[in-house]
Amino acid sequence: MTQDEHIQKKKFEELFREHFTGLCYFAQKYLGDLDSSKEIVHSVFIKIWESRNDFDWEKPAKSYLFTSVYNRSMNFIRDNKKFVSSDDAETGNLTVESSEFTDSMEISELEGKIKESILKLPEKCREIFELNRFEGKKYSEIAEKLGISIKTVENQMSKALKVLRTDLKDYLYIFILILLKNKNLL
Amino acid sequence: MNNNTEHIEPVELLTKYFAGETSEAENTQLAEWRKAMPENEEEYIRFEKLWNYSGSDALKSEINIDKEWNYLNSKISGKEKPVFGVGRIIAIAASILLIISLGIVGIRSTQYISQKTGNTETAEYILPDGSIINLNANSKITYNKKFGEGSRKLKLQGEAFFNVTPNKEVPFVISTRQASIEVVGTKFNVKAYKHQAEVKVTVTSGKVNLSSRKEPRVKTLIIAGETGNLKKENLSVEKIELENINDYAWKTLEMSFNNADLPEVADVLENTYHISVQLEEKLKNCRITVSFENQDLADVLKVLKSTLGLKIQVENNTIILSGSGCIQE
Repeated sequence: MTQDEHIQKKKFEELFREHFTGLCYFAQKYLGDLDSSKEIVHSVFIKIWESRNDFDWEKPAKSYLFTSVYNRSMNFIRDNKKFVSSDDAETGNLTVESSEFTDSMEISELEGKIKESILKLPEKCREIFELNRFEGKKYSEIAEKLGISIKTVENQMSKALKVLRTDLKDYLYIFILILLKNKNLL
Repeated sequence: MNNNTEHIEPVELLTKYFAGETSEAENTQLAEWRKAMPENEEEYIRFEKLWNYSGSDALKSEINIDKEWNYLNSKISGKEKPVFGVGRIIAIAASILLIISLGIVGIRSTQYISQKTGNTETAEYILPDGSIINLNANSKITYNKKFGEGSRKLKLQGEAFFNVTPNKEVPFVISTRQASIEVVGTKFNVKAYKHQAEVKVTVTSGKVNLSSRKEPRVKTLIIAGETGNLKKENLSVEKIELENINDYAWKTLEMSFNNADLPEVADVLENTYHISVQLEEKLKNCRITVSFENQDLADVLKVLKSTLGLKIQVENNTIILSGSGCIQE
């Protein structure tokens, strides 16, 4: 690999790590299935790599990525008719310029960042957080299950939220903008 | 954004509230907080969004980004165009070189283990001999994989608190860029950040030998309750008898100030809570006598605020203290 190719590969990896999770959650909204979503997102990145010499590495790629994933998801739904019966199928007529599309993109990105942030929490803190958020366990139930005090659960939960709040500062700001915009639309 | 210090405190309350674990009284408290300032309401909305999206079904899907990258990487690597002729020979030669150099890197990276912390985190590690190390922010330790077999040596950049498992047969040796610290079995803190003019070793129990790396035979014994300062400038060691518990408050959260001026307090807060503190010039002669045990930053700030009549603003990771200053006594 030459020096240039090396730099290109590095940028490619950065782009991938920055957006992969959010893009998967985005595709999952339309496909309802994580494995197909991952495949689609991978295929978009493979396409970029194959045309890497024509790809503009300096330009922000977010919109391009989400649009590509969206289009491929729609094609996937069209080619696999069984998906049409899913509740979300009617979202298929979103236009890429619409504000619904942008919002859905921003929310998926935010979800991706939240997930990455959760994965970085200290083991115990993450376990407590996930028991509460994903399994719907009450503080008292978590305390009993893990043999710790309710106060500890409380502390670990707010510790988790503090970390998320700090990590996601920039993304939450964007979210407030969307919210304000939507309020105006109403 | 002009955040008020009130912003730090309600995280506990907000979290509890969204989790549906608050009492009636706490609900009222939260409602009042929301009404108090428009910024509070905005923070509430942000938190609500954060709470909702952090529990969304999508997030139940586990995505391991390293695994996914490896998968993609293997796919694109398999798609490289085949090389023929002279090019192929070069390619083979190159790949042999690559294997050789990977081999070297491989051997190197398997010999040493490194642990490091970022800007705002601390971490606890247990070494193979059972010794416990608490790493402060921006710090790194490196040790051989065979640590404990015949020797216990490690390198430290930054600051760490050590609780060393006693073993007279195998001394525990810490090297920083300038200093070398030999231990038998004890608890102590080493502060050796690059930007500081001295390496500070504060011993809580037991004793350690401190020497400069240039003159390893000139050892200074530091015992419990003492701090040894190795000046980087001339590599001399100075002993200070009174231990300063503030030096390792980042781990213990115990701080004590005895007629300390505000710049000193600010230094300790920065080191303890991984924030930065800005002081208005006229506050620099303010002095305070107070001690804290296991309190979070918001509580500490509250005390400073009411004792010295300060105004406190929070911007990102920076605490800005202002006020009318203090009268010299």
